[in-house]
Amino acid sequence: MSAQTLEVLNAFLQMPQEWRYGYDLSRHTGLRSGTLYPMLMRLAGHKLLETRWETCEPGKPPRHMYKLTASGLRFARQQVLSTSKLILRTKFGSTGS
Amino acid sequence: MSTLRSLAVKILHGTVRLAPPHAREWSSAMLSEVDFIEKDWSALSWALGSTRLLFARPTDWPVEVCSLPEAISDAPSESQPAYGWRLCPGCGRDAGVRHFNLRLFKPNTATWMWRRHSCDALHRLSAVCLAHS
Repeated sequence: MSAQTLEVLNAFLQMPQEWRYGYDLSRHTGLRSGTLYPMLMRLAGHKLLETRWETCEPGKPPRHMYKLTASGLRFARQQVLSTSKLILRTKFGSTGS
Repeated sequence: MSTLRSLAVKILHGTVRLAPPHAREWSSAMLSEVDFIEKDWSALSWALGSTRLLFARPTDWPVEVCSLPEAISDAPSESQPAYGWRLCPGCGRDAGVRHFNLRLFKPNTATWMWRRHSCDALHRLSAVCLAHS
């Protein structure tokens, strides 16, 4: 898994119940739109991310909002945890448990 | 609306029009999002990024990710796309586009391309646009 995908999953995990929008995620993770959106597409394609359209401000177009599904949350936690363990093991030579 | 922003909106409209069906909703999402970006240069950068959706395919999920989560096995099997390369009419187009991008955006050759082969580049770009339309 790429570091960018982990960044995005981590961003979702910080507010797991909140609906997020693309520009917010882009600013939060520092990823450009061309990297972020194909990634979101893939996550949604694998039912790890749910999407909806929401009108936030009158006079502006509806925004596409994103939230991890239950299986997406499990997947994200698993990935972030295993990566943290790997980093700990690499850095300190321990098992990280 | 500034020139930069109107250019960004034009690019995004083009992306929505040319995007493959599975990416159309996402390019529309990027188009609607541009109204919430305050800086014009950021809006243009956002719009340029949207062009990557033209080449996004539902099959290019990395293999190591596919085999990992139990989460994925929750999804019904008929909804799972086939992984890896698949022959389809879009492949030839994608290969051409990727070749074009490689030559155009490779740092060492970008200037060279624009100075000496701008006609060639424009020819390829127009071929891509025709293939999409």
